[in-house]
Amino acid sequence: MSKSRIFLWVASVFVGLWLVAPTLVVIPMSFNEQRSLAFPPKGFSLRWYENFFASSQWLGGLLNSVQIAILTAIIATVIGTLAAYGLSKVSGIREAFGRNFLILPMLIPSVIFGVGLYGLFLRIGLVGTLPGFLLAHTVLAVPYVVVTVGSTLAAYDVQLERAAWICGASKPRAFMTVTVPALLPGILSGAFFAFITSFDEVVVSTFISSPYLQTLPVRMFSGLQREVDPTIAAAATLIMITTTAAALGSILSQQLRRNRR
Amino acid sequence: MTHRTTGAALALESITKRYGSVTAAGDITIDVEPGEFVSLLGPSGSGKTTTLNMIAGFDEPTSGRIRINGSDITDIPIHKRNIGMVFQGYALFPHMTVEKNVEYPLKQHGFDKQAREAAVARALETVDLTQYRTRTPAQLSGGQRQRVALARAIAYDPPLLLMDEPLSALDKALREGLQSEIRRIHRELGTTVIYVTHDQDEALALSDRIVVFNHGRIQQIGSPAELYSDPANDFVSRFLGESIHIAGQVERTDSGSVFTSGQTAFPVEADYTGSAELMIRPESVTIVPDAAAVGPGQPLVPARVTDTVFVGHSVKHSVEAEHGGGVVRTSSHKAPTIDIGDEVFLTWDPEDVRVLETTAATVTTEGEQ
Repeated sequence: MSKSRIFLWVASVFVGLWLVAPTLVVIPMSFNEQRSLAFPPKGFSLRWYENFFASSQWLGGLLNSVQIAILTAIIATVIGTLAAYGLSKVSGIREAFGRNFLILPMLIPSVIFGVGLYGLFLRIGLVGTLPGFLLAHTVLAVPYVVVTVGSTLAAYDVQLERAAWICGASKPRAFMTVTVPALLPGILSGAFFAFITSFDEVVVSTFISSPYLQTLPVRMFSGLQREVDPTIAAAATLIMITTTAAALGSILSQQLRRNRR
Repeated sequence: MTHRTTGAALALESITKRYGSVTAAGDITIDVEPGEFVSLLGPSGSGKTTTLNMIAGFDEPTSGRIRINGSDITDIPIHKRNIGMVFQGYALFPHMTVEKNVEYPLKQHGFDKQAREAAVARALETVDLTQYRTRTPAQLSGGQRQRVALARAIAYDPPLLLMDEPLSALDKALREGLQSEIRRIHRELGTTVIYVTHDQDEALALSDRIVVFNHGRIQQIGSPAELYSDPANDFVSRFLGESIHIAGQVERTDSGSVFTSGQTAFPVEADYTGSAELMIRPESVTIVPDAAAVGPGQPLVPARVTDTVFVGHSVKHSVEAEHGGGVVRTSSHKAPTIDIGDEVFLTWDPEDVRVLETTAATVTTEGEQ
């Protein structure tokens, strides 16, 4: 191995560690025997996991998060895919305005969005409700779907759709049987990003949650402010496992599709 | 293969497509007989693809009507037009196998499973791809993909088949192979075919009739032989086949019309006077080394050889005369030795000449070439 290659390896490993090490630190912390968020941990125990699954607040938070994230991913993927498809059919100022408008929630600071949403939801009684969370998270997740599906659409051959029409498929049918399958890799990764966006969201969710409906990140955040409870580390580890599994699933499904071609 | 559909009669009634002030296709009127193979031929931007897209329904005509078997389809949505189409870039569905691609139109047209399977098998057999039916398009070569596209287009026996430059993405040997395959399929199925191409050889080889387009207008409609021997104008004569063109004047004398170009003058058949262009096909032209070889009153034009290319069965000479030029061919086995730069004389049988009136339109075409 040449010197420059060794250097490349070392540099890559260093950057890789730099990116993931802080996140990984939380895993050993969750197995701590003592009631502290210390690193390195002292002893080994599963008590914080037991604590997590025994507490209706923690487990309830996790189930809320998963439910909201899955529903958000579905709604945002449908809306975002249709929006990206619509944008691909217009051009000029309409396209530029439409695209930037849809991406705006990604750029606006969450705090501002959260405050505004809180004021509005308070008036119409959506604070601490499932529809409230779905509305808020969908707004935040749609931009990711628009971007990923939009980039897949840029490489999409519009002739395919014409071919489907001339084969006798109506426009909605052609969209479902030809366009959507052709865009599926982009749609799936859009759905994945939408899921993560919702599952991870803490700022806006803090504003619109109530003691009756909290997501896991909100529960963790408020927990951290009151006490030092290693259950948070256990929760963080569970979140990490969920998101990593989702990411792996997304990568695997794309790989499978690529192999099939 | 004993299966035959009845081809549809297609009538384009003065269809026009305008984008703002630009006329992409103007006043297009074509009557296609059932079972006819008609090519739309022209350079890019000449309106041939726009015309095809209007027949398919991808573009809506600004004015005019389109009829299939007499019934007006101008406002009928694409998927109800009952048309098959082969696209330039194949447009195969990448997530479906060959079989599923061919089955797709059958499904959309509501065939039951048994009929679908039979039709898929038949279509794949027609294009000789039966052993590839479980492959995906990505696993096929360009020629195979285009044959799948062809199978998909003919699978449900559409009475009208549109082809949009289907061979332009393939190399020459493959193109010629597929040309004869398309001819055979057309013969076997009896479908009416509208074939868009910018390749004159392809159009000549395949078509019953050719519609020549330029600047969004039809220049001429006719059989390949008619277009070749009797082009309607300068553009058609230059676009189809090789030729020699000489600019000059037609004047009427007591003994008939006379064509004058520079120092030379000879009788021609023409029913008008004024600026004109003489068109002679290469096989009618003889190259002679000196003027003495030709009798008086016979056409005789001095020219210079600018290029000589050996192409196998013949030798192709590019020649330049004072008021024109073009291409002459000599037979390669009894070729007089002619080199680049030689001063020669061109002569021909006066009967093999076409006199084309010089019009404003032909001047524009010349400017573009």
